[in-house]
Amino acid sequence: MLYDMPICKIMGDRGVLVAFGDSVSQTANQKVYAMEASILQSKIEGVIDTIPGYCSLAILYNPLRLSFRRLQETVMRLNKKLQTVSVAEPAFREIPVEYGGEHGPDLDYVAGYHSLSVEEVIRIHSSVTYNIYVLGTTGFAYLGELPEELHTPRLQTPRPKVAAGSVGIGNNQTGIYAVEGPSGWQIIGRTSMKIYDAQMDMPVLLKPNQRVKFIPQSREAKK
Amino acid sequence: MDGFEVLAPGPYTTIQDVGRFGYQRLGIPTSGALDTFALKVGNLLVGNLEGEAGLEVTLTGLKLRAFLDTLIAITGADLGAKIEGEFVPLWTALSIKEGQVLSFDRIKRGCRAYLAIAGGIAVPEVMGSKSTYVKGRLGGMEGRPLKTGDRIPIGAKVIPTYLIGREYPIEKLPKSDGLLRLVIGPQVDFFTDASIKRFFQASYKITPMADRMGIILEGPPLEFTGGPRSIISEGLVPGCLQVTGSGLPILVLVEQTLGGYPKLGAVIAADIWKVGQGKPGDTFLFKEVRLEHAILALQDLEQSLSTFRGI
Repeated sequence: MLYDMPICKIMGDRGVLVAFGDSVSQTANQKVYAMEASILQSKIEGVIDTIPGYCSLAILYNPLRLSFRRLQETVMRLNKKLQTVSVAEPAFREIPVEYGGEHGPDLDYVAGYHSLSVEEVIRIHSSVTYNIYVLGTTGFAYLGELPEELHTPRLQTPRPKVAAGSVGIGNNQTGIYAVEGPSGWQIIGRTSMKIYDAQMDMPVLLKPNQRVKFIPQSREAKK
Repeated sequence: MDGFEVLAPGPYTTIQDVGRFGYQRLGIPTSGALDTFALKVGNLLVGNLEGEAGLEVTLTGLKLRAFLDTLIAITGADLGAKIEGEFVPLWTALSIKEGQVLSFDRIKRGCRAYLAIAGGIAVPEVMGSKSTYVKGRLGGMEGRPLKTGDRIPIGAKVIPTYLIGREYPIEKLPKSDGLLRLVIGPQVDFFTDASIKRFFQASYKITPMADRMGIILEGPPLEFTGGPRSIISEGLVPGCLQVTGSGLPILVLVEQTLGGYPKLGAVIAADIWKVGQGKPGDTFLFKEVRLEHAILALQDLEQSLSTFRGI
């Protein structure tokens, strides 16, 4: 559900959660980014950090500089002008993916689950331009919206380790693993792009609210 | 300039400052010292800016040898710090000479000690901070905890020898009373009144599942009213008290940006240091406070720092 007006919730003495709805939707997510841009552009004294979620924006602030009430009033005032806020949209990015094989051990399962051929799964998954709804811890990219034909339940037993760059499906979501880690998602491919590189000045390659598209790569093409 | 050589790293020693802000939107958590009060006092004692990086020493085992004569301060937990085998006072500017060994080998009180060094720690800033974030392999010493043989670089500085012996007044330290004040928060309506009441009466023990990301507590579970047991992932602040589907409370610390567990509330900023000083087996009581009370408590803590700053 999308709320008529955002709700400001107290999260401890230095956090405010601005909720735009209680479910995942592109509309709510776009409001999150418009509000974040608006807050950051306003350079409000006492605001320390922002964390966009799917349908809420967390604002970390210094309560000795800014009161909850003041921040709430500001959010409500900015909300009225949300339509007119220009959100700098990060450049569109194409992400090469090698589907199947050792890089996508669950591609066959996903195809079988939906009675599709492997080629059809690849075609559908790579036909959509996705939005990065949120970047999770260490830059895990949660993308929407996954075409309904590919919604697939998670694994019964999570894998202890999947490689950085793995592309997976978990129920109605798809995403890219920035670093190696445990995973309960269906892994259908892997990108050779470095999604996270600690050696760079800016280790996180992707940006929140960025639009991305997967480009299937055959193994031969890589050579 | 090399300041110290690591003879033994201890179980988990990292370089931390007051944290990395502005990058949580990318999934890079703030990191930073868990007991920032202790780190700041340590820095002020040795003549540094209070936000400078120091070592966060977890429990015992760290052993360092000084490459030069300098000034240090050890604050936070009492982990039996010794120079050349002799116990040294905490919360005091101490002189250490070239070749002398600083060691931590007995847990007396608390969990994390802070070592501040005159001139600070000269590792590069990554995204505006020297704090180590081990899971992201960034900041501090190559993005990892210290290991044997590491050389800790320190900032070049005229050693402020006139500060030797300067102390922070022990009687003015915030009290480690095991009481965590909590402001009721975003999803309090997910839980039954009876179980919330019980939560504020019971004591909760820190389990071994405790690190800088968060701490799993053991005690009477929270009970759900019958509605949802999870939420769409949303941003967190340190101190958030998350509740798992089975009612287990988890305290969020500084290495997590988003979470999908409902939150009863958040421990106030003035009490987070107590969480950082808790070790497995220690217990906490929770007390509900209003937002105004939390801000007064933070003002008090700030006040004691600024009084000391002014001396």
